[in-house]
Amino acid sequence: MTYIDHIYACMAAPMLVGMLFTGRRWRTDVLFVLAGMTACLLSAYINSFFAGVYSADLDTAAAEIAPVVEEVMKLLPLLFYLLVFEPERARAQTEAIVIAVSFATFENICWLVENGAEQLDFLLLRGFGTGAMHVVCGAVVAAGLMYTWRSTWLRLAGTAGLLGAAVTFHAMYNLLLSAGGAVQIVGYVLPIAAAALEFTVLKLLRLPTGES
Amino acid sequence: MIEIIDNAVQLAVTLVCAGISGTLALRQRKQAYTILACYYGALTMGILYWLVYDLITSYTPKIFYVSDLCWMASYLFLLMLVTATASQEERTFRHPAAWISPVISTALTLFYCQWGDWLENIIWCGLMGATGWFSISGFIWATRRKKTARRNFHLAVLFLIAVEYCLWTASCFWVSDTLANPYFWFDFGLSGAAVLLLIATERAVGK
Repeated sequence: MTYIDHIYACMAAPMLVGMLFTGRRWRTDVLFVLAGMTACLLSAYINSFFAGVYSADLDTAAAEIAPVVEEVMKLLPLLFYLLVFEPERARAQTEAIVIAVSFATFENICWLVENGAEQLDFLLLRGFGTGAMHVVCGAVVAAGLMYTWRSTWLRLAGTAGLLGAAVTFHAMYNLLLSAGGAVQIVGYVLPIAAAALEFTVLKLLRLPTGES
Repeated sequence: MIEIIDNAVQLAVTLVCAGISGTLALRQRKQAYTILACYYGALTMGILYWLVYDLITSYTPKIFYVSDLCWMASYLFLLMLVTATASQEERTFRHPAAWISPVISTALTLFYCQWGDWLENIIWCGLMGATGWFSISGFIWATRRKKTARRNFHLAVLFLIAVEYCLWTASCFWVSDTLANPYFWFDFGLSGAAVLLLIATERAVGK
């Protein structure tokens, strides 16, 4: 059994103390790191709850429940930031990526505590696979929200559409990994390929990828 | 096997429609094409997940959240398409016949709730009822004003809604995994309705 709440407390404590001695800008960034980690912690609890409610096995939970719960939990702090603070586009885009990266990092730490760190090749696959997948989902949602939130009529449908895109990508990745064999390798390559593609598209369309 | 073929056809159709409407949106910079591209895009994502799930596990998803989220988003975009492309006069036009749509949707919600989640069915039928309400009003307005392209656009939307309702109803009475099952007829019909919507929107907006 992994005590993820204990890991969370251990990781969050130095950040909270550090916030007392830093400027406002850095404090905001650390808050978003904490928001990403908190989203990951709560997602684990909510995933377990829904898996119990639907009597889902591990594969079903990974392919059908976890993507929805995790992407919604990642989106909530960003939506709060956008609705309450109405930040600049590039700033909000950067914070969305910070949430995604901290979510993936905390998830990886919990995985390492449970499974150990002996196999570097597998850890690289996991790091560039799961890690990149969360970043791609975060980047898609961030870039899309910056566009859709410019007009009121697009907000609701746009947010739902972007959430759907992120959830589908996440679920497809989990599905491919559960298949094994050559399909699993495609799954591992998918996030990095998608990250490269998304970066190229954003550059070609001359859309911002975050704060410069 | 027929389900995989059916979903693959639908995926190909919606993907092509998304590509065409996306290209039109980039070229002509019209809001309607952007919404239409989003509609097809969301629809495609939902079908893609459904198909990949079916291919990998040989089953359809048991807990529908992933595809449903995309499909709900796509119907939100359809509702937006109907309202955003209407003129001020059409938007303010009201006709009592439009209430047929919410009435049918409410009756079907109660019927579908025997099988599925209450919340999910209420969201689905709420979206359909609202889209149908705007489309029936718009259809009557366009017929009276003799705006043929606009009338055909609303007809395409109403046809799509009708086929979708037939599909859901057929899924409640599952016959078999063969082409004899009416569910597959309506699902193939839905692919056709998606193409009709693209043509009708292009004619209504392109002018």
